[in-house]
Amino acid sequence: MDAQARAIEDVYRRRFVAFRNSLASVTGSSDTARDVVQDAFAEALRKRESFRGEGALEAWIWRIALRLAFARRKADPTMELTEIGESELPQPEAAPALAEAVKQLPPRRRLVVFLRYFGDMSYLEIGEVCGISEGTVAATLAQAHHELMTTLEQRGASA
Amino acid sequence: MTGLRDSELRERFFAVAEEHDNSDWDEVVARSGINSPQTRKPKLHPRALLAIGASFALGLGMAAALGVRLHPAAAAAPLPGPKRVERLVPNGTVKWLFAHEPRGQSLTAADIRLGSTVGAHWQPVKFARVLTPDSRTDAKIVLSLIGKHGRNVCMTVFFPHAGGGGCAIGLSLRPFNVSLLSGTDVAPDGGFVLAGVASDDVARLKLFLPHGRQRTVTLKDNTFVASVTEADSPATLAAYDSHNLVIGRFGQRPVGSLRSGLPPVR
Repeated sequence: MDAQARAIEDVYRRRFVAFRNSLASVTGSSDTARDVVQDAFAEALRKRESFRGEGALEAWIWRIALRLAFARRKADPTMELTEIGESELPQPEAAPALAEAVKQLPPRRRLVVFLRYFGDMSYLEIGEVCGISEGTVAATLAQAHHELMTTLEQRGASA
Repeated sequence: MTGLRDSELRERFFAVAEEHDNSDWDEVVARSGINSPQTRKPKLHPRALLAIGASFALGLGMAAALGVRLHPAAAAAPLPGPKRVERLVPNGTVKWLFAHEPRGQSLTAADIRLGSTVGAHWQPVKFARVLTPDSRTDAKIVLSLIGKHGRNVCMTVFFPHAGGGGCAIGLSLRPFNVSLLSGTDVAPDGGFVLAGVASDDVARLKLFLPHGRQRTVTLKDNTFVASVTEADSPATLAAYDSHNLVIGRFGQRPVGSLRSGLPPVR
């Protein structure tokens, strides 16, 4: 394989679990998310020559993966990442209070939260994936933290 | 009301995240329709290989790739060792580094150019030291602090003919950050090398190999290096805290072998 393919493989090996857990919040199940991750990296391999090095390789793969995940959820293969769809905490029964609080967030804010905490991504990386600035990521997360806290407190479930 | 802190939310999400790793790179390759991977050795100066080392936090790089492919049977084997992290440790640090304690060698004494270290071309380097994680190997690891305030940690792994590295923004190291190196220059038998930096939270590192075998990995000045042969793959490097809880893990299946029968490509 060429160097670009090796780079994609390296991202896959290091970040598979983060991709799958993040995408599970979009697809609704871990199994479907795994399937999407496999498809996303396969697509990245096929189209690797179209990656021009503008931004991080991993961010490029995240965009492919999220587009496929949202498309899978809507059963619409033409859906673009700009059309942020619904996502929720996978296995909501494991943390009902948090699941409910997350559900109250607007879709884009929710996605940023998932990328941060399931994807373990930096503000910079989230910004690259979502096409927003690092400052906007920080502001979005700050708003999300506040909203989550409020909802959790209302439910009497805050730590 | 100040809202939830980042670390608190991280804990909450961590508790519901699934740690089970059911990845399968061979399946990805099969789905992609790429059925004839070619073996190719990049024509790069050894120093240039530094630019393609596996990275941390920023996702800046990749494993040093010298044309290898997976061994199907070994690739399908389950990863040995602990299956999940038992305690989440965000915001790791290396205190001696931030205190500018002169451990190891200077770049000058080790004959390493500043420009060959990861991060030196992006931000000013405020402090850098050359560490030898294990005297039984030729590996050197440069830990450097870059940025206006010297708050970003960079790691550069040097082998005689290969290298890797990456940077983490701010005071937020993961328990350990691994650079994965493979290829004939560092692992001629088709194995791989894991080298990296561990935060102060890590009390010890252990390498889990197939058939229940284990190896302790030397941790010196927060750096480590571990060679794994293809026969010893897959392997999992696990980090433990002082209470013997798993706080980090990195599983790696065989990265391939040049003895795979694929013809060399010029």
